Amino acid sequence: MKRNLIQNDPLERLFAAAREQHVSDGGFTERVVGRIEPVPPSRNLYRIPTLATAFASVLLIVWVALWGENFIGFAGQLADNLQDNGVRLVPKAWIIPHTSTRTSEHADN
Amino acid sequence: MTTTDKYGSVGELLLVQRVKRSGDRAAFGRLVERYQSPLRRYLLHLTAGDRFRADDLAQETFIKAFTSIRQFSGLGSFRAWLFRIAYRTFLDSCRSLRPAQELDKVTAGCEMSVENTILQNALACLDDTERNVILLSAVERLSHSQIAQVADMPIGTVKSVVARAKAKLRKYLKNEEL
Repeated sequence: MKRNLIQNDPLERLFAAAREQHVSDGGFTERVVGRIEPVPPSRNLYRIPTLATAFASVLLIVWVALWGENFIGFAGQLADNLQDNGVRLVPKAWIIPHTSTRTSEHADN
Repeated sequence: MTTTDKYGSVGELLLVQRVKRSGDRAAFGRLVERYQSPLRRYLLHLTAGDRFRADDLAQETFIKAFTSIRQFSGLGSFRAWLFRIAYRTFLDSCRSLRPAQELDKVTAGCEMSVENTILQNALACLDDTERNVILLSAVERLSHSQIAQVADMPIGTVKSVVARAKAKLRKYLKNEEL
């Protein structure tokens, strides 16, 4: 149907002929690429959080190195304080009594 | 297979991204290679067959596209974006032209087929906006929304301009008995 329209309508025939016209490159692309000047790389804003985190980490390391903050000692001190207030962060003993011993004790009773 | 068919739209987007990120000239060269023919053809018709002027405008268009490629969002059509730059470049050049170099009278550097010469003469009976819209629609096959983006006008206006331009061209061809 479209082909008939193009064949019968002189205007559509002219448009079809114009569409088929291909302009050969003839060194055009080379000329354009030769004329363009390099642009500076884009400022990628998504890098900002990454750089900020890295910067904060470096600052922390430098701070610890210079002032020698003892984080393990600090954590221990905090745990002692909490224990004094009745809050137990870790159990006093990690050993779980044997079931057999407990059973024999029950039997004796 | 024509040069235009060689790359898909994904490939085209990748090329655009490469140009946007690092100003990759080789990637831009491939985009120029892809679009030089339709763009030069479009400008050739707009300039009434003045090949030298059309080539100058096409070159200026591509250079502008390269320097402002970061403004291209990637959401719309790169082709439509390029044609928009071309049309604006053409309008700017028209403002700086002397009256003696008006579009309808230029024939220098023109090597066209018989059909294209007839079309060129017929297009002369249209005003600048009608000529631009009908070329984008009927020759370059841009959608109405893409033409609206290129010509900076509402889609409804694009549709009515296409219809009006076709009616004028048909009348011209009828009068010329072609």
